[in-house]
Amino acid sequence: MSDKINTDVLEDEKETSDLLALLYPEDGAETEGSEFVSDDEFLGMQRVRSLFRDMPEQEPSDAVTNRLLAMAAQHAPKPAAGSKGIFAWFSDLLMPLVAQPGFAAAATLVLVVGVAGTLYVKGGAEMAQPQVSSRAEAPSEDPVYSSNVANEPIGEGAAAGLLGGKSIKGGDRAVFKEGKASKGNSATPGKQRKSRSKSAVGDLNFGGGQGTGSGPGGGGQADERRVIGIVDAPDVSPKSKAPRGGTEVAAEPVVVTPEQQVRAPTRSSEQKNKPSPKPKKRPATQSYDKLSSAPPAPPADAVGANDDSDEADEADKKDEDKKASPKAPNLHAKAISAAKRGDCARVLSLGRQIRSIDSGYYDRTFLQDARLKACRSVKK
Amino acid sequence: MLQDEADEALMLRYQQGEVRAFEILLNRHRKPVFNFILRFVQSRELAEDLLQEAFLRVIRSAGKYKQQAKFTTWLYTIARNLCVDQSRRAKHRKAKSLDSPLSSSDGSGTLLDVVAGNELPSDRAAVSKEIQIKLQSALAELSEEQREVFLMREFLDMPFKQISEVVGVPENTVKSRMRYALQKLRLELEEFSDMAKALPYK
Repeated sequence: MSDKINTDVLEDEKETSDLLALLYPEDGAETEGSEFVSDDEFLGMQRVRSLFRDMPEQEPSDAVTNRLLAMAAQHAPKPAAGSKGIFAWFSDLLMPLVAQPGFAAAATLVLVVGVAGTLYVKGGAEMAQPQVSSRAEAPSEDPVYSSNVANEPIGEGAAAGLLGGKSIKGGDRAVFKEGKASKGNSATPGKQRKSRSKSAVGDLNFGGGQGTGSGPGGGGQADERRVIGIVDAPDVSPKSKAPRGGTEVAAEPVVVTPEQQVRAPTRSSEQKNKPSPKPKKRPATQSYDKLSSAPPAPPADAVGANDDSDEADEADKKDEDKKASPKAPNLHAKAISAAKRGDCARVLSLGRQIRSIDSGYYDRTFLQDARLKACRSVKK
Repeated sequence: MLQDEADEALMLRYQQGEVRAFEILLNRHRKPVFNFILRFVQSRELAEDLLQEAFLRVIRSAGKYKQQAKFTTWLYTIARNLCVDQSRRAKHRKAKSLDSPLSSSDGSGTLLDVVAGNELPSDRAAVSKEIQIKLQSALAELSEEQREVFLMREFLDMPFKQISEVVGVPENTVKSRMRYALQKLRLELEEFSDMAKALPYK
């Protein structure tokens, strides 16, 4: 049959390609070398294409179009959230990791170790912080404190002067002298008994036993409240009530706590009304509470009820404390810090400075400070 | 201007929730897709259903659409698959008489319904309705593989490479099918060859 398609010819890909390249030159296929394409076939196919070219097209009904538009509006994808927020972004970032059990376990481990490490470091810092504050008695309020302590030279001569002419050589760090037989040790037996636990402090002397207790109790009447007495001055000025930590507060070393205000009634009304020229430092109380082995001072009311003369003495000493140079407590604090570090030479130097600034403070407070006990063991 | 944007850009816009972009896509492609389906299944009702289903699939898959291939390739793959599925569901595929239903399973009209009415171009006014019916009938005589290739190449102006992507066969196979189709149509339409000679080739 002439109509029969010669499959052998049709299978010839080369011929087919050439024929179609001639029929559809817009496809860009090469048309040259089409020796296998018969003109008859090519023309016949071209005629077929001509017949189909103008087959009219039909339009789909508007109902279908409208339905499709309605469906498109109904099922339109939600617009992508442009601003998802940092949390969504973070969760998107972590989701692939968390989705994997291995990664999730590793992430949990990292989290736990991180938290534990943070707590450990933070805990260590918190443990160290009280020591620092007690040593320096609010060092944070004195930013130059530490550098001063570190850099302030201790002259050999100064140390020698404090030691009664003996120079300090090499590792000779003797600073304190046990002054049990010192001049200031003239406390009455009763008062000595009363301050038995801290009598050693009262006996403490600096610089060749020159420490003389002032007031009725003298050096031996070293009442612990003397130390606290620094803060006993109830300065209730608005400034002193300001919270600690600010620079303004740092400039004003004393902050009166409610506890201190409770003690205020023990003072005379005259004292109460008298404005305090310079607030006293609180850290003395802090360091006492934390470091001193001596029991805390009894409430002022109780003290007053037991002994009227004590009260009078106390008031006198407070007045004197108030008059004392504000530098003395600072130096005292530095001395305590130095004592904690074992730098007894420094303590000696500071003691000398305190004595030169305010001998009363030196006798009443500095000499009787139990925290300076560490340097007492160092023999001259 | 949204009207001038490429199909792929419009699809991405619709993916972002811009319904207007889909409307443009629909207006751009509904007619050629419908005619492709109509010439394939030869039933207007069925063609409308399949057209609707094809675009519904586009709507439903819009969220997952990725600009990896041409939009038309994707769209005609959907339409072609629907046509093939429909054709496989049909029991018999025989040359129909003009008065007989196109498909025995549905009452979707006759071949006369498929052939366009009076919308002939002026230079084609001489081509009678009978010729159009004959053309449609000749198309129906082609195998599905040959028909889909012929329809895509002749009416959609798809290059053979794109047709091979839609159909999922090598390009050479597509060309072979096209040649078979043309051979067959040439034989079927032999009686109109003289008329075809008179027609200007575009």
